[in-house]
Amino acid sequence: MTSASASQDANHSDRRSMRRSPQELPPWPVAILAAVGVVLFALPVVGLAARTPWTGLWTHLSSRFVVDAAVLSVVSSVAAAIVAAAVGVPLAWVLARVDFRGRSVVRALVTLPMVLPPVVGGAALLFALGRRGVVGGPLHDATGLLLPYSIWGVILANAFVATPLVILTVEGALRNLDRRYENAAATLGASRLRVLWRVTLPMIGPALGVAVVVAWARALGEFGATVTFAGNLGGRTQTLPLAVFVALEADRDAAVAVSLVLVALSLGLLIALRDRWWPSR
Amino acid sequence: MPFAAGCAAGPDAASSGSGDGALGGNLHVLVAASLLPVAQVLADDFEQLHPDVAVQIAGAGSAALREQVLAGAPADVFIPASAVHLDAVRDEVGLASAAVVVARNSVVLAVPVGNDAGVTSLADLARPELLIGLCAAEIPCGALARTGLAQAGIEPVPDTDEPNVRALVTKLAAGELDAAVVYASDAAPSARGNTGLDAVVSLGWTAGTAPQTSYAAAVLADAPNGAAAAAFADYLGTSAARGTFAEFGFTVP
Repeated sequence: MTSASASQDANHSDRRSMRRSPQELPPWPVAILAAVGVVLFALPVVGLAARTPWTGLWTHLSSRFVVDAAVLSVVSSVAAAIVAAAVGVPLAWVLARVDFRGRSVVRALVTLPMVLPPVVGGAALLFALGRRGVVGGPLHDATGLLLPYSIWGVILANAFVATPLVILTVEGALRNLDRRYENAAATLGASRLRVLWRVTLPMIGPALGVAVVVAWARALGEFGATVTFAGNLGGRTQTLPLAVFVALEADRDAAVAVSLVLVALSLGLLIALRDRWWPSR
Repeated sequence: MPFAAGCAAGPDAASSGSGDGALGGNLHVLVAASLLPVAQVLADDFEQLHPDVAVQIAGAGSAALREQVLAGAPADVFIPASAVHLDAVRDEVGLASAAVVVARNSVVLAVPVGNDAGVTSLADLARPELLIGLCAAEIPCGALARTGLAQAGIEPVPDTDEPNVRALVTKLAAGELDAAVVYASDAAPSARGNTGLDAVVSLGWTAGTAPQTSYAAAVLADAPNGAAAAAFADYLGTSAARGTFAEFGFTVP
């Protein structure tokens, strides 16, 4: 996706000819396995819809704990996406453009949260930034600042798991970028910062958009790192996924109703994303 | 395995003079999260007595376990931390025999080793400047703690309502909370090693009698390994098992 979005002019004629090519029928093993794939991902959604208490849906969704959790989820996930972009894009630029010793180690380190169980990530954050943590301890002693049990902890935990998505996507886009435009701008006297701002970022715009929205969606669904690092308190740190988990213990209908909202939101977003940015036509 | 036990092993079992020879196979035991450490020890001891049985312990929140049982997960014995979940399973899938209470647990006020905040009684849970943790009201340990605190006339100001008791104990042990209400079994020093949680000290229940919860062991009606399940449930009532429960901070009926 990134290569196609990066160098529009070069690929334009190719894409136009592909669009005109006749519809292809898949070989039968491809068709069967693809169908299995669709069923695999559709079934849980069907299961959730089947369990949904449609009649009392609005009552569940307008209850205090759901509204509080929804507001906190939106605020913290948007903030986390902003942090992810602010930190992830520069990191991606360095990883894509600067050849330094230990680059692969750094890349592995900053993408670690993608493969780490989120609970482990949350515990690691707690041991680093908690009141007794190696960094959090001195920080708390000096300033009284305490990240866990606050919205700052939620945002940090969300950004921790979401940033790697930005880094990987943007680094890929930067690597596939046609450097001639940047070189031309530099030749014409633009400073490096100006080239980045006026040429590089606009050219990777579509990839950047996908990266930020996917990071936002990941933050919206984050559970393990959040509950481990920031705890769970209604109105303060209880996001929608935490509210679902706790509600499952007591009120299954409420939990299912909230889950449905999360699924609908994410699904709608991903569909919109596909039409808006991913070169599908 | 059931085929062999039913046909070929019949005379064998009779000649050896012991019914134990017929026990074998996998035994799936679903236990409340708070029982996990003791259940693993009990399972090991049971396997010593019945070497052909492989006990698989699954520990999780009682409600999650109930959902698994109702959804048809392989389960022989179910030991939740609250009667609500047992009732739901009895009504929907049925039990092979009446559930028997095998242990009781109470809630206690617990602090990290060192007790830097100088917590002395349950009343400290109302001090807003301290970091206080409880279990979420929706899970058995949270419900129990709130019942007890209400009886004692204390309104806690928690900084977190943890969705499971192990997570709460972990935060307390890491010193990231000043005080929490946990199960007595979570704060009990155990000779057999209660999973490194010796960083937590119990102050007991400082306001009269602590509220208690009961763990009842139920053999499911459609248990795939009913014979071993019944034997395991019986084992939990033996003096050996009662000793193990006591060692892990539980009281026994």
